[in-house]
Amino acid sequence: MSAARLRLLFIGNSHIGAPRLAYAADPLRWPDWEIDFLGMLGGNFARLDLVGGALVPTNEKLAAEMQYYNMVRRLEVGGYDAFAIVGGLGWTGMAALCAAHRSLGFPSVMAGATGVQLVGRQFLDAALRERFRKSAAGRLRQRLDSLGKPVLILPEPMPSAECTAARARYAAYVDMVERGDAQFWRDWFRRCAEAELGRAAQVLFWPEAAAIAGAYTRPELMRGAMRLTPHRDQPQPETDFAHGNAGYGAMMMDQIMAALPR
Amino acid sequence: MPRHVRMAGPFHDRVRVHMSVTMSHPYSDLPPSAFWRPAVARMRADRLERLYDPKFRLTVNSAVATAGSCFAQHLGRALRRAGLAVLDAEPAPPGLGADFLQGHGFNLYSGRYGNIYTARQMLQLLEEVVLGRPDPAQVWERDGRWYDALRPGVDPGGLDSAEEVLAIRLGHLQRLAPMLASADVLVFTLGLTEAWRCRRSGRVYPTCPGVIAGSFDPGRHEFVNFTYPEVTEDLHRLRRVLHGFNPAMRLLLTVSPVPLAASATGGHVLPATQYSKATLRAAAGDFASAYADVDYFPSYEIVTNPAARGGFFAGDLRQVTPAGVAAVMRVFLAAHGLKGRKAAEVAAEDAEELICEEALLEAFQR
Repeated sequence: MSAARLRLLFIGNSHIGAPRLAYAADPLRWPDWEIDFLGMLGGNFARLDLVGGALVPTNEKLAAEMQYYNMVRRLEVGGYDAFAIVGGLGWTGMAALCAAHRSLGFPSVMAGATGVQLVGRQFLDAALRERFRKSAAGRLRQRLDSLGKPVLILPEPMPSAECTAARARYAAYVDMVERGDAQFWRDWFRRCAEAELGRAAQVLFWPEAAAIAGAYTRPELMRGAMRLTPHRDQPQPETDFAHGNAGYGAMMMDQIMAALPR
Repeated sequence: MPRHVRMAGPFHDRVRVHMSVTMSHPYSDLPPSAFWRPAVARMRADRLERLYDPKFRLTVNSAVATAGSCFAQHLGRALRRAGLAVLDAEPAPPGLGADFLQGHGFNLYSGRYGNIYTARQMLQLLEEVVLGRPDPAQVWERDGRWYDALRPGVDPGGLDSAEEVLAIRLGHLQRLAPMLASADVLVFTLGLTEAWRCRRSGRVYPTCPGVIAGSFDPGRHEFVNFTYPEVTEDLHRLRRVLHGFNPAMRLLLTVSPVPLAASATGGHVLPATQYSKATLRAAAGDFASAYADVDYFPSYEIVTNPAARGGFFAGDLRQVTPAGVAAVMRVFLAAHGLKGRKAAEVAAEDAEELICEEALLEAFQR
């Protein structure tokens, strides 16, 4: 390990499992950076405070969680040269925003969809930006701003194309795809994320090679995903269609390395 | 025992007894609530009793629609908290904060119509719903953005085009019709008599043109201060239109205690406020007396009660404090046999700032 290598810290939720698996499987593929991972459940990584150059839990429960998943109760971050925030943007859930509320430009509205509550384009724009501001990734990014280091943000993967098997769980998303609005909304999501988060961070969206129909992730990049566990690899259940596997993680790693300063 | 002015001394006691025995008059059998001293002067302002006897009861099964001036937002929240089915023709999308949504006209009333300050504004909205067609002339522009002149506050950033304004307004009208048809009761809070209107169409606006958007043109816009006969007539017409949606719909009126932010009468804002509130109060009372399906609830009186010594008004002497709102809702919910929530919870939620376009006028004071 070279002392001259730059240091990159991944911070995220269960979606951090994909790049962690990829890195663990083939660390020499990304030799330029020394990489560490800090994973917390759900949006809890946004509840870490930045105090004196260290990320610290705001309560004992969080401290115990941090200890359980990362074997530390605080993490000095002043020495890192860049950060990658993984997950915590909530792309799949954003489908609910346009499930009943759409503006004139939506393909489904232009095709004459009925039962839609028509709202202004500006309202949906503001709604997306509000969600980004308050997202776990958005809140952590604000805290990291003071360090003055490059920050990359990667949304959680688009759901697996096999998620239609769990239609009740993905109803809003699958409906969005089936009525022809998914790519339109995805592009809108990207524009708003860049506008809201992109001033102080770089948002790296889904690898195009991983996508199907611009709305789903290829199933082979999701099967075999692992849970966020501290001590041993534990696979996600077969009914999980949300998490990327090592293959997807490797794509993320390549994206990150291409985006980081050399 | 009849109550009399207290007089001291044995002579006066003899006179009082004598009068009690020998005289009978309309006041002699009235309950304490009919007398100022026991019912107001000696009663805590937040513990008023026998103030309101509903003509009809709201229950947790009542489908309630709400509309009115900004004070009506408090009523809507309290009714929801009490478990009533407050109708919402245009529910908000999920996952967004309360302030953000309310700032865009969601979760304020039973439709995204914003504040409705005058009886005429409410009437014209209902008539527009019946017509099912927005007026293309009621679109305002500012800095390349377009606004619905009849609810300019619900899209603070404006819309992309006049066509978008009209398309969204058409959808708005279409969603209100079934909501009104399903409402058992409309709770409507009267706020103002002063308004600005379009000379050509007679439509009144919730804000003066030029305040949020549009531009004021004396050739096209005029000031109006609705009189008692006009407000009363509007209320009668309003009831008729409501019954067109649902013949069984009942109407519960209140008057907002919030004073005018500014008066355009040319006179002092204090008498202008008193004129406005007195007109609305009298019109609402007489109108309610005329129909079994119309009731009046005295929220105005509870908040302006002298026994509160101004304590129900916030520092600006306009907005109603959470304690004032709690006093109003305590009377209302108790009279209807409904349970509210704990005062502390209510106060915390009612500390949320109301969405009130009229307050924007304060920015224009010199």
